Amino acid sequence: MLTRDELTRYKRQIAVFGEEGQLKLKQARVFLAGAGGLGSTIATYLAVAGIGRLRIADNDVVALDNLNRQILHWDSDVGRRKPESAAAKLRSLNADIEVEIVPETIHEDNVAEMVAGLDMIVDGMDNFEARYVLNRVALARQIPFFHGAIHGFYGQATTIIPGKTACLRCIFPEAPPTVAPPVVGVTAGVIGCVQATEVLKYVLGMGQLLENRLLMWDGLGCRLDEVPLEKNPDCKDCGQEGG
Amino acid sequence: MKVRVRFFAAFKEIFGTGEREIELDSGASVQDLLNILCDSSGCRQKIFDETGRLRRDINMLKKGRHIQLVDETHSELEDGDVITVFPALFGG
Repeated sequence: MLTRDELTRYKRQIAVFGEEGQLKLKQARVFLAGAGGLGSTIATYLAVAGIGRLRIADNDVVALDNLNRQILHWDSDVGRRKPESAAAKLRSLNADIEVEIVPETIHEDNVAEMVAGLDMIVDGMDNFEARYVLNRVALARQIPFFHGAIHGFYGQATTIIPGKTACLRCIFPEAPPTVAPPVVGVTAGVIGCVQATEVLKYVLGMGQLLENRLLMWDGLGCRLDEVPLEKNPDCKDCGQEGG
Repeated sequence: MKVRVRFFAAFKEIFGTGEREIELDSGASVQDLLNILCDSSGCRQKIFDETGRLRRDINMLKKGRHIQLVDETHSELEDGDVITVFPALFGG
């Protein structure tokens, strides 16, 4: 049931998907891995859209060189734990939603507990090792995994539905070498918004998801393209699930 | 036979185009294709590592599958194949 304030707050989007849709958003429970560049954008738009419960995991501390892109963290937050900084802003944006924080690094041993009770996982990570951990838990739990990654003016996103689409390991069998990538803040904005859009569509059951499609954003050319993807039947992460 | 190669992001600049159609002999491999595409030492340095292997920070998909899954660059091409080349993005 939506409150009178919620009906007012979300009036302009209820015009798009109705009170029933808004109630679905209120009941949705989302795990956001990372409160960095992508995570800031994703969390902001999911919070203002009224996603009922948002759990954010990150073990970093805000640094000055994060501030060109991690819009939930401000000058005064330098030195503060990222999930705490993010949660404070999100609660100010929308006091009607629940924001939970997990100030821990995501790894194989703690990820199942982190995502327990939640309906989907959104990728705001900055490395493929953690992404593979999230990919595996999404497959094990049979919940969607909304992938995004960025570099400079370039970005990519896809939506992974266990049993239906290629998983992250099908698409990228090996982790690329990890170095601190150059990133322009607007790219995190573009790709984070694509991921948040996918989450909303999934919850609402609207539109066509980025299933078996890798969306490629070229900010320099201002072009959006897509690459078709195929599931790998021999994938070491999803090949045995029978999907 | 003919294959189509699509380049994304920085590879558009490296190869000077977003897409090329290449005529190849029957039985040609991805490696043969790369040898034709990389017609300068500058280009080869951006595509291959010091061992001559495709760089790990480059993604190459053939029919929606990463070539790491289909015998790397030894993979044989077929008429009408579409190859996609794009950089490995991992930042967040």
